[in-house]
Amino acid sequence: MPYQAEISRANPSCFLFLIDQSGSMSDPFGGSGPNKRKADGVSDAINKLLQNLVIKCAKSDGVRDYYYVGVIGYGASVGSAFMGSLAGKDLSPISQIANSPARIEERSKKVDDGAGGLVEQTIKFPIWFDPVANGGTPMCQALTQAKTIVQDWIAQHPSCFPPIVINITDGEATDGNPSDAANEIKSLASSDGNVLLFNVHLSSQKANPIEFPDSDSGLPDEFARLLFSMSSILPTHIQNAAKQEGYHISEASRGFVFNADIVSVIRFLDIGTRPSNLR
Amino acid sequence: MRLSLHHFWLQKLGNEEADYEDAFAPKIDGIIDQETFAIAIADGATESSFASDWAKMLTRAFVKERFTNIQALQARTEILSKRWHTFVNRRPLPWFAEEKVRLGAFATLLGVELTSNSNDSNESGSWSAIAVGDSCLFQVRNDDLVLSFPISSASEFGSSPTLLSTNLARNSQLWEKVKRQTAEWQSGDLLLLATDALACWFLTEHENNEKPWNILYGFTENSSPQESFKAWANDARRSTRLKNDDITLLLVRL
Repeated sequence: MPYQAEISRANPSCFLFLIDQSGSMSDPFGGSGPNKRKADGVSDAINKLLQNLVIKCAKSDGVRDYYYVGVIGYGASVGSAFMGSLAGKDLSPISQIANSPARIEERSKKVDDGAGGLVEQTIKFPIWFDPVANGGTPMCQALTQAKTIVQDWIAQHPSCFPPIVINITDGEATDGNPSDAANEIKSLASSDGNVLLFNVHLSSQKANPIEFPDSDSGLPDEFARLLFSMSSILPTHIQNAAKQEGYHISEASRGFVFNADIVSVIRFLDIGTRPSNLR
Repeated sequence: MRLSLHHFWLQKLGNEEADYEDAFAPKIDGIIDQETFAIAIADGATESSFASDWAKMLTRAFVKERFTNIQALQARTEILSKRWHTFVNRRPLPWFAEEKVRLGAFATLLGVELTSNSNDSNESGSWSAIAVGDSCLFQVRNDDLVLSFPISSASEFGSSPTLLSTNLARNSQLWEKVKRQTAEWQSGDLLLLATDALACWFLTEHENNEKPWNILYGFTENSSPQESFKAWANDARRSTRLKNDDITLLLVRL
């Protein structure tokens, strides 16, 4: 059975995020929030994904390196999108990511007080990436670069839980059809299974959010259908974890969301006992 | 009531001893001669921080105060949660640790109180247990498993049990899931308390008509009990008969 490898510090796995920083990202975002641009949606998504991944790996003694993480930006140029101490690195241990946000903002959040009421709490929200919108959309080039990084990782970690590549984009590639490059990434495999490619489509279309669809019939446009077709089918244990949280999932459900966030995927990864009352 | 107590614990294979997040109390081995006696184990959840501190607090508090009813457990959890927050906030924390504290620590708890019947020269008595989550108690009499609590089949184990949290809001749906059990004990009975990985192995073996208690009790008779337990457990983990997780075992021979 694939996708069973234990994720541990001795056998870590890898996350590679691709973020679309092209000029078209300055267009309005069709999802939640007024006056939001797609570029704001991308930076929100990547900051939230990194925050959740760090928190998943954080223990009393610090952050455990269960994952090595890279972020490739594509727009005016293609390459590692981190600034500061992480600049230029393809992959960094999650503990270094945890310790190197560009800044930490404080946001207030209303949370359950345990006695039927709500109480306002201040939450620290780390920011690694600000919105960028500049240049074309060289998605094929970004996927090709991702393939090289993932290939090198697997060569060094042949029995790891398969790397997960998450591409966050409006889907409008300007350097050709990205399907072939996507297939090449998905054809890479560790002994535990094929690399997973998930796509987050942030669109200007004011259509309802769609999460983990199993067919392209309800998707609003050709870009959504293309990204859906490029996305891996969710492994069985992720399907089961998603079902437990109430998502409508079938055996054909794919790692694709439209104008929605994909942070839930991080919850679905198994690094040990996760209480059902921890959400 | 005279009993012998043995404890065994082992961190997940590949981890350091300091990474062990189960807990048990009391931390003694040997012959105990008391009218009543209490023992407890807890399993701190991997995905929460400061879970081992929470698990330790719960087991120590149970042994001291023996809250075998739900109201007492609820009241005690509130007090212990405040103590845990004071403990973890004693120094400034990085942003991710602060967020983990806000989310809360989570742990199972299995507490058992044993009482002897005063009128039969301590040859029998009763026990009363309370359980949150998937840590298990097994009672063996005359080389037969007579009781399994709160889980009775290996298929009931999963990776997402509902656990006791320091974040009191997360406990709101929990109290109705707390399990309680009382039963009789007789001289010669063996009680085993085990956290989930070992408990799951135990029930699987039993479902295959094996007598896993003999393997486990056998370690107490070995010249180096902890070492032989460790070697057996790591071997069972490598052959995937035993899930790679922290394990804790308390053995009480009455």
